[in-house]
Formats: sequence, structure tokens, C-alpha cells
Amino acid sequence: MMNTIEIIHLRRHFTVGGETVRALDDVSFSIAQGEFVSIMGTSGSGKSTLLNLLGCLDTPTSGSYRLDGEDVQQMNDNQLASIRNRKIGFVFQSYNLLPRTTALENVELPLFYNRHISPRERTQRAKEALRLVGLESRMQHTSAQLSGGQQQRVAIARALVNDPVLILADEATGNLDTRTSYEIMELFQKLHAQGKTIAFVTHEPDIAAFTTRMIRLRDGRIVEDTPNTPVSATQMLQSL
Amino acid sequence: MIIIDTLRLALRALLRNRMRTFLTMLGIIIGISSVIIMMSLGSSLTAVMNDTFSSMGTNSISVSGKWEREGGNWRMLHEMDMGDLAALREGCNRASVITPVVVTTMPLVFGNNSHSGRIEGGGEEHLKINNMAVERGCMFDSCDVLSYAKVCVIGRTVAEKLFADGEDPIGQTIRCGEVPVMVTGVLEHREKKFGYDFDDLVVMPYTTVMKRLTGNEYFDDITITCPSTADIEYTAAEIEQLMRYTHGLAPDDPIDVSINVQSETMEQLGDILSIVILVLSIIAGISLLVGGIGIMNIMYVTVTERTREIGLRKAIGARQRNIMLQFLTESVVLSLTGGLLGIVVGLGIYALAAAIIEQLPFTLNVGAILISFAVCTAVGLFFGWYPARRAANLDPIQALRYE
Repeated sequence: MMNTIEIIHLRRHFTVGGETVRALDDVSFSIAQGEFVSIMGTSGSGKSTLLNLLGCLDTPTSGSYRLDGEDVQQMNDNQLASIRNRKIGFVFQSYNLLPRTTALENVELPLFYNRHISPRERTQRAKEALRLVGLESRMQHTSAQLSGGQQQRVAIARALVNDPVLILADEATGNLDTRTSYEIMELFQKLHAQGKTIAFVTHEPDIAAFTTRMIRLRDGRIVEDTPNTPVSATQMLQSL
Repeated sequence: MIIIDTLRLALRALLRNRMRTFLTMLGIIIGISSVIIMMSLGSSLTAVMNDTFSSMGTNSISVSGKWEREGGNWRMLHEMDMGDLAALREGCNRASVITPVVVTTMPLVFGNNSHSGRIEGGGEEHLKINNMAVERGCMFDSCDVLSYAKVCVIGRTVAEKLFADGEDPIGQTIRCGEVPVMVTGVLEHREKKFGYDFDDLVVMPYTTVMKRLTGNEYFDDITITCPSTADIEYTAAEIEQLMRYTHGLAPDDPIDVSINVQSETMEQLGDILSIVILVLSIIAGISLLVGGIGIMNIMYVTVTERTREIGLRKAIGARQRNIMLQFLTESVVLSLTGGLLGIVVGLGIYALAAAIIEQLPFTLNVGAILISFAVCTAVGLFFGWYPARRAANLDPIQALRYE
């Protein structure tokens, strides 16, 4: 099976006050299609930097990053924007929904920036994505009318709507209580079961336990990369 | 991203902060309405001016003596006389009417009423070449001119001052100074313009005025009219030749008469008026500049407020030009809407003024409206450019983290 992500000798250095900070220092790994990987680490471990690189928001100092077979490190800003638009779905800790905008319109947003998709298809796909996350009855609700968990579901629908090769979640349960966190993880496990490739950045081990593989970073290097037998979120919810 | 989506986005963003949007627009509204009022006023005044001049006859040339300053005193180089009249009548091939004009003021008396009136002495064509006509009675003819006949036609104001209500002036004899003169007709009413009363007038044969009233041998000027404007230039040149010849001037001597072409005078006045209006419009336009700076300010605020939104849009695939277009559209919509309201307000105020002030005609200046739209678009683009570029250049990583 083809690897969705291939990272070889990836480095990302920052110069802060004349001093070089090695946020990522020689990192290599790949993620196969259909994997559900958690990327763990404390703050300062380099996981945010890695997330930015994986999300094509940043380019590496050296090393190579192939996403779905495409070399990313040589791309200009517009090409990166296009890659993000077509191949990546972002889920953020604080949802980042547009205020005073309906759930449907929020989910449609990535498709606005794809000129090959007609308005009709846009709405149709957004509705489908909302159905997938169980919010078909709240399409016309604005963000303010939705609970935190529902907002995060809208954000997940927004990440699904462009049918990306990689869903990139950044502390996606960080703002939610335990029950809602488990519900969101249940949704991610469902998406994983449907064959989606997911990279889940978190610092909480009990959230990482829901994934099938754990990568742990410390001081810009990978210190642990182990397969994991995932805990079932559905069972966890029942036991609450 | 499709244009309609961008427009919808801009409208929604602007409607989200109605008060702020309105206050920002206010600068543009005031600026555009001032410009509209100034430019409309300009076209009204031009229309009034053209109207006034055409009632004076645009196909005419007037020849009068030229004044020259000599020491501290003004001296007339030459006074127009019978010799000039004869020479012009003899030599101007393309002229249709050549008639002298004398103007004086005399006390007019009828019964117990008196009035100090302006008296114009002219030929039998005097009314025709000045776009006047008699309403009742008749104008004097060439025979009256040749025979120094004591006849006149009077304007409505003179009739009202001298005659009681219901009394018919025609056939009555009034006194001009010491001379009894019979009224043969009453002139058609003409509109007052710039406060000048065109009805306060007595018209008599110029021969009568010169021989019986003033005893003066000279004309104030000689008016020459041509069948069409095309002949004006030719005739003016001809007049100069004739006058030089008659007065025995060498070709390089300065000419001793002034030859005034009505249409030229009108053009010059029109030019002056346009410059005045332009200056006033530019002054009004300065408030547009202030309005534009207001837009720029509020767009910077908007970009800062929506940093996270911009970050998100970039993260999910918006290119720099998408973001740029989004914010530029917002500033252009802001200034264009302001401009539209400004046009409505400006035209409203102007229509109100035209309704109140009798002499001010309402003219719709389409040019001013088109210019306003163009200027608003330019203001929106110009003052929206830097804020939009700042938004477009935001780093998505930083923007997403912005609190």
C-alpha cells in the first residue's frame, strides 16, 4: 500500500535572537494510507512544528516531505495553498469556525477555494459531510447556537468535505470535557474504520490510546514510535 | 472563488457591524454629495448662462469705440458715427442686419406717475435681433426710423409703473424727459435673470433718441447680425478691414474700435465658470480623501479583528489573491455604497434647492454621477489596498494562533 506521508531526514531550524533553535532535528517516518497515528510530546518537543510541516503551512529547512506522492518542500505559496485545499483536512483545538455563519456555510468553506466545484456540488458535499458527523439536523445553526462538541463536529465535517488524503487534528479534544472528547474520538475511530488517514497531535496519553500508532517526540527527535491496540471509544463512553 | 460569493462575503462582513459601516461610509457620503452638488450647480449655471446669452443673440457682433487710458483718464479712441454705419452697410457682404444702438436713461412721465427708465434706441430690427417681440400693438418701422418719429414700445414693468391697472398703454402719449412719445406696443414678458429685469425698458428709433432726446451724434455701438454662426468669423474680419480703411489706419496701427463677438464672450465666460466649478468640486473632493482615510483605518481594524479567520482561510487553501480580493471587495463595496448614498443625498439636496430657488433650474448631471462612481471605486481600491495586502501576506501559522 502506498504511503500517504513519507518524511526523510526532516529538519526545521529557527533563528531566534541570533541562536539557532532545532525545533525538528533529523526526523524520518512514514504514515501508510488508512493509519490513525497520534503524535505526542510535551510543549517544546517539536510537535507543533511537525504539525505545521505536515499541514504544508511551513516548509522544512532540509530533508524531504512527500504527501500523497508529491514533493512538498519545493513548492511555492500558491502551490502549498492548493495542496492544503485538496489533500489536507484541518481540525483545530478551538474549532476556528466563522462567527455568525451557519454550519453548512462553514463546511462549504474549503470548496470555495476550489474553482472546479460548482455551487450546487459544494452544498451537496457539505450536507453529506455534516450527515457523516451526525449534524444533518443542525445545518442552518450558527456557531453560537452549537455546543462545543457540535462545533468540533462541524469542524470535522469541514475537514472531510474536500475528501482529503490526510486529516490533521491539533489537540482536537483540548477544549472539551471527557464525555465529549470520547464522542469526538468515537467519530475519529469511525472515520478511521472507513479508511481515512488521520494524524492526531495531542499531549494527552489517554487520547492517544484511541489511535493505532503512537509517535512520541522530545527535543525535536522521535523517541518512540510504536503500534498500539486502540481502546474503543464506544466502550469508554458506555463505561462512563 | 466566484465573484458573487466574494460579494456576499463582503456584504455579510459589512452588515455584521452596521454602525461602524455606516459611520465609515458617512465620510464618502458627505464627500460625494458635496461633489454632486457642486457639479450640478455648475451645469445649472452654465445652462442659465447659455440661455441668457442666446436670448441676446449668438449670431451677432457689436462694434463700439475703444477706450484707452491716457495718463489718469480714460479716453475713447473713436466714437461710432454715421460714417461707420454707412461703411459697414456698404461693405459687410454676409451680414443680414446692421443697426446702431444708443442707450440712455430718462425720466418717464404719464399723468401723475413717473419712472426712471432705460431707453434703447435701435433700428426697426431691434426686437428681432435681440430675441424680443411685441405682445400687443406693433413695433415701429423703417419709415419711423427715417422720420425721427416720436413712437416707442414699452416693457411690462414700465407699463405697470406708468399706467393704472386695466388702462391700455397703446395709443397713449408718455413724456420722455420733455418729449411726448406715443406708445405703439407692449413687449412680451421676459424672465428675470440674475435679478435683472428685462421688462424695465423703452425701445425707440435710434434717430429719435439721438435727435430729440439726447442731441448726441454718436452711437453706443453698431450691432451686426449674420444669418448663421459660420459667417461670424468672416464678417468680424471684414469689419476690422472696413474700420481700418474708414478711419485711415495703417495695417500695423492699433485698431481704434472693439469688435465683440457674442459667442466668443460666451465661451470665455463659460471657461471661467468651469474653472470656478472645478475648484469648488476639488475642494469638495478633499472630504472624499478624508472619507478614504476612514475606510483605510477601518479596514486595518477589520483585518486585525479577523486575523484568525484569515489564518483559517489560508490553512484550508485560500491563496493570497483570494484574501486580497475578499478585503478589496469589502472596501470597494463600502465606498461604492457610500457613493451611491452620497449621489442620492446630493441630488436630493440639490433638487430641494432648485425647488426653493426660482432662478435655479434642476439639471441632472450624468457626467457627475459617472465620475462619482469612478472616484468611489478608485477610493475603495486605493485605500483598501494596503489593509488587503496586509491580510493577504499574513502567515497562516501566526494568524491561527492570534488571540
